[in-house]
Amino acid sequence: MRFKVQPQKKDPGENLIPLINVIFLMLIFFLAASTIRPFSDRQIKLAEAVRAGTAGSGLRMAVLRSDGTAVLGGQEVGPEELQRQFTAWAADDPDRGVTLVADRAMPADRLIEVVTQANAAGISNVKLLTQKAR
Amino acid sequence: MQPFVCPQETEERAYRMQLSSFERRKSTIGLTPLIDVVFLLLIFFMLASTFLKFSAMPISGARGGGQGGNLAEIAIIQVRGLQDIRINGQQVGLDGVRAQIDDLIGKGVTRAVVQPAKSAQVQDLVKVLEVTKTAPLKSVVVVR
Repeated sequence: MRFKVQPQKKDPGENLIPLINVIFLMLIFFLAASTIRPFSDRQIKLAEAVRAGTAGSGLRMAVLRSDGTAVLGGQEVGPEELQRQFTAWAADDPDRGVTLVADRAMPADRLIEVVTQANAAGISNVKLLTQKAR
Repeated sequence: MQPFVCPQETEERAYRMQLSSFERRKSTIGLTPLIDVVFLLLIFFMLASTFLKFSAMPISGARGGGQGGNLAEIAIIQVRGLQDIRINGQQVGLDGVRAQIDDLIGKGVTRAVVQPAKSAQVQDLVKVLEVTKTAPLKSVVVVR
C-alpha cells in the first residue's frame, strides 16, 4: 500500500503576509482615528456636554466615583489624603490647576465640596472633565 | 570554450554571492516576532484608546473674602433637577434658563451663583453651567 503524501514544502511566511497587512491596517486605523483615554477607570461615566473642547493636562487628575469616593493614581483616598495632594500640587505650581474626573451620577454637592477643597489648598484653576454628547 | 575571466574578478563574484545567500537565509527568520510585536501594539491601542471627545469645563467655587457686591447684581440659580431650576426664586426648566438670565441681565444682573440642591447630580450641574457660560455674565460661581 502506498499513501500519497503531498509535498507541502511551501514557505509558511508567504501565508502570513495578508494577515500582517490586515493587522497593520487595523493598527494604523486605531492610531489615527482615536485618542488615548485620559483616565483609565472604566466605571466612570462622565457628564455629557454639548460642546467638545480640549481636555486639559493629563497629569493632575482626581477621579470621583458615583458614590463620592476620591481616587488618586488608582488608590482610593480619604479627604485628608486628597487635601494633602491638592496642597502638594499647589505648592509645586498653583497655575497648572487640577482636572476632576467625576461620575455624572454623583451628587453635585460632593463635586462642589472637592472644588472648594482645591480652592482652599490654593488651586484656583479647577476643571471638570466632560464628554461630548452623542 | 570558456571566456577569459580575470582571477581577481572571479574571486570578487564568489565573495558577493556568498554574502547575498547568507542575507536571504537570515531574513526568513524575522516574520513571527514581527507579527508578535504588531499584535501587541494593536491590542494596546485597542484597549488604551477611545473615540469619545473630551472637554474640560472650568468650575469656580466661591472664595471667601471677596468684594461684597451689590446683591441686586447677583442671580441665584438653585438646581434641584433638570426641570426644577429656580432663578431668583422663579421656577423654570432647563430650556427656560437662558431666557430668564437674559431677562435678569436686562435688569442689571452681572453675576450668577449656582447652588445645587441635595437631589442634583453632576450631570444637572453641568447642563446648567453650560447654559450660564454662554450668557454674557461677568462670573458664574458654584456654592453648596
